[in-house]
Amino acid sequence: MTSGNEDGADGNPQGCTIAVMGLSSVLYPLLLICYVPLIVGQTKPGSVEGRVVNAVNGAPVKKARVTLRGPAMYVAATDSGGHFSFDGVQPASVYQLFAEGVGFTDPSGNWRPRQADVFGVKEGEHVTDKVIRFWPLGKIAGRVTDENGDPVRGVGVNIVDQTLNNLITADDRGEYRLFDLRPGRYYVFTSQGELPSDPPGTMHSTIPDRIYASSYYPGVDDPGQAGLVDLSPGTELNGIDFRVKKIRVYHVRGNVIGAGRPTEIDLDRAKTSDLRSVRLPQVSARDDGRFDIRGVPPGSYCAYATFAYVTAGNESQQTYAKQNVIVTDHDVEEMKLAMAPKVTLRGSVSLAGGDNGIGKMQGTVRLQPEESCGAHAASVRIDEDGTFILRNVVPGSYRISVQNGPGYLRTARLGDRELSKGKIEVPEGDSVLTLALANDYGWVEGDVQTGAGDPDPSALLTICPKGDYFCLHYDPSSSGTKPEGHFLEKLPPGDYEVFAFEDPSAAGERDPEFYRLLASQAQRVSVSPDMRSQVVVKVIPAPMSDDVHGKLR
Amino acid sequence: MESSGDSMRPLLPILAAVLPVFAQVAGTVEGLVINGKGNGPVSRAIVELHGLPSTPLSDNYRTEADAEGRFRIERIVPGRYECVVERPDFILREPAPRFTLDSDHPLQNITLRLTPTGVIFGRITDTDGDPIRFAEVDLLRYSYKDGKKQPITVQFRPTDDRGSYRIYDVPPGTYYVEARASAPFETSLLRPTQGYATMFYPASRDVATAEAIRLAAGEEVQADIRLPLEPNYSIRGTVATESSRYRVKVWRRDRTDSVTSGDPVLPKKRFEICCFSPGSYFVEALEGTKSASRELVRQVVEINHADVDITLVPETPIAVSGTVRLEGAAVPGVRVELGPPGVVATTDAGGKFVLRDLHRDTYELEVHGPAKTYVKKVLFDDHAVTDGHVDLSQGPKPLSIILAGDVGRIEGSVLDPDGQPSADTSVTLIAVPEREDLFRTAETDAHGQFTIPDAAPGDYKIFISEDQMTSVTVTPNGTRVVKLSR
Repeated sequence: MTSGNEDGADGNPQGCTIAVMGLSSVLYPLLLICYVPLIVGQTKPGSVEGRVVNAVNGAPVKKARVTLRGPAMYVAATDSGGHFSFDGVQPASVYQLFAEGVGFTDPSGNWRPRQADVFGVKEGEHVTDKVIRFWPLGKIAGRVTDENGDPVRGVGVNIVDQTLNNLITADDRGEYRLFDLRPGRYYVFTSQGELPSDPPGTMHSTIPDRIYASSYYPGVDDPGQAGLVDLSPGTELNGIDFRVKKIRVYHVRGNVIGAGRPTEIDLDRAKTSDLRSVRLPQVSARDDGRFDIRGVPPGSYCAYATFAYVTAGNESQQTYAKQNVIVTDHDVEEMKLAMAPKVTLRGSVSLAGGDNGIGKMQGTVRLQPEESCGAHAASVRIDEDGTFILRNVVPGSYRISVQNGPGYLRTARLGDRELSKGKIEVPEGDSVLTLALANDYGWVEGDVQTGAGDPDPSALLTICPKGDYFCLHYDPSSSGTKPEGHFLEKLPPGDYEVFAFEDPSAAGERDPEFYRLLASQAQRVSVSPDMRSQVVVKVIPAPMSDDVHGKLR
Repeated sequence: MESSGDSMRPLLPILAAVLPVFAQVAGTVEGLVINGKGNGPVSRAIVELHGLPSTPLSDNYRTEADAEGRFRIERIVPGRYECVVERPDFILREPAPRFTLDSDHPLQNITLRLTPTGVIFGRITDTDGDPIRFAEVDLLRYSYKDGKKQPITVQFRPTDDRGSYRIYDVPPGTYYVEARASAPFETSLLRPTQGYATMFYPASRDVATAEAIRLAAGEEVQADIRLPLEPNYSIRGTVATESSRYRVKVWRRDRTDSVTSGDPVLPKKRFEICCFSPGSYFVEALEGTKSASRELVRQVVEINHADVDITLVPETPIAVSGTVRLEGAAVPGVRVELGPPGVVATTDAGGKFVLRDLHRDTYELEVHGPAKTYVKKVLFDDHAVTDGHVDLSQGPKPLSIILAGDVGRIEGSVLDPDGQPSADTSVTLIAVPEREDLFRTAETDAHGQFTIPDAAPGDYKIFISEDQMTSVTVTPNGTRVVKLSR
């Protein structure tokens, strides 16, 4: 069971260390090189033995890999009773045991220590009864059938939580099986189907185009009604079944007009939700500008096309077209996508109270889209003289911000119009921006606590301007402030709502509606120039933020 | 727009003449989808008509058969069509029906006899009976590839956490099942390392001795395989060279698709490459960079039941010179290759070539001569090379390649079952005995005609489907006319 049984010159068994070699072995990037103990000959080796057990039911875990790490490293596999043993262990005061097992840890090989208590091995000592408890991974399985109860093959089944997005295909019996799942709460739903591909030419079909619509656990059609599958450690949840229905889908046909022929036309859901998993094929416009997008389910969409070319002056110029389209119960014909040039925004940045025109300006001007149709984030570095040029911006609603500059954005003007809270409606045609920064920051200082009032060092913070929810996201643990759960952040003066989340991905949410629904859980605070405001923030538990996410879908 | 108007003008009178006819004889296709193995109807099949030949101007039609297997498509533009059918758990094994709809034949009646597909499923376990997850299970079937009949993977699936796999949509036929898996995770750091042997159903290490699974229509066959663990060994050693920029490559002699390589570990310039099962391997040392490397030595190493420690001594490379002649005359510009990996030379004006940087090893010969020629004879030191392998173990000898230009011609026509010319159909020509360089394929044109202009004299099998082969003998400079049916 123990590795490294080659006899050394002194007759003592040697341990083995692992080295990653500069070779590209197909199966094993790891290579063993036997370790020669530093103290040779005199010490009497010890031994370590124990068991690996399933933490849920106490059953032995066989064929787990156990590593004993200290000044030397030893590897063993557990036997059918879950036992492992290491002989010839070099005495030392610091050893740790790690274990990995199929179905218990990530099979991709991520090193995830499950147990790492520190112990010593004295000369000639036999350390026994070391028990490593493994939390087993879970499984979800079920069947996909149609309205008649017949199996539906080839349907994708998705399992999604904040970190995982897995997809598996149902087999010829409609059965699927997902395994190695960490305990947690998952959305499980079927993917929307696809139309069969057509041969070259024109397809005259006597049957209407229909595809399987997505179905969400627990058997609902609307993603907003989707429930969470609660998977506790080591459970195998069978019977997570889906009955899928076919829905009618339609064509969206039309014409691209104006300068520039886009190579691809995108049709996206107007309001995207990560549970919808709609993948509409991109289509190309023909030489005469006509396009035909097939297989579109009823709903609201944004059609967007773009085309890039190089001007005579060797500059990259882009044109675009965007058009909202609603598909109801018939094909959409004669949609016009009129190509127009994207616009250029020129501007300047100044610092209030600063030495304008003397010091060097720095930072980045950023446009964050506030609508999904055709708008893309854009950013540009500010020149030392405070000027900037943002090229190829698609007209629409954005939020403007300045990052890594000498201050926060206090006022912004488009032409001679003042922009409230950095909200900007980029018009057709080129225009001029005037941005003024200020650096009279204040401070918010506080503690994050669990519901029981204990400090919570692992929660993440989101701080939003009151009622606005164009938020900033912080990880207090990275700021290095002590004691645990304490934080101190620099902010522009104003009124804020401070959220603390147990679920790390909730803290990164961009949808303002999410924060609006959770506003009652936030702590309010006013920040004044050069003042410190104190708050205590209660952590929002993961199930609560999950439920709000569910409502948004 | 103006230019397209111009090009349309000459067509208009023709269209005017044809259009009324179109309007009158719009065709109808009706039929029945049945289970060829039980004669009962097959419900809800998708039936499509694809216009022939297939172009962006083709008209195609789609319908769905009802619960009793009946379908009907009306108002079909006259023309030639192929009928394609899709239904889970069934396939159409016979050639897709083709027919012509015109004013004389406006109605076509079709019976589509579908064959139920089968399933091959099972569990892949270790010798303790514990499941092996993420094993790759390959379903193989003997088929022609590159002019040779060989086992081809037709489907593959990974096993799940129970070691289970399920391969469905399998047409009736003779199959082999192969399973392979990465080494078990728990012993992967132990020494000697262990790996799972690749096995064929039921318990064979070689496809030649494996048991064939004869899958009948609609059958489900269980094929469980146990993968024994076998120790894996290392090859280590040194290369006797001044340079520290060498690389060592190792691959199994019977599997060139998986090469493992390693670099020397400083300071002692030793290499160690891990984890090989017992067998016969090539070990090759190269010098230089990845893009410009030079082979120093290639050697066969047998791994039995121990690690192998070797010193690779670079050999003085040898060169093989030779000539390429056609009817006694020198042929310039012929590419001659000995591989793998390929050492290539091209003949000069005198038909001479020199292949350099070769080692005392066995190589495979490839010759790319002018069009309408073939390799008639190869002499290596006056001994005929019959299997395409040149053995340099006894040192370099002159290589004499004799081409011939007396190729024959095969002119063929293919008919669809209704006696009409068969367009867009692939034809395969296999030499008997099999020879990769004499393998040819052709595609029929819109009139069902095909030509193979450069077949070496000899015996062949020619076919559209492997179930139905026709023998044909090509004579020097002769022309053979072949009639085939789909």
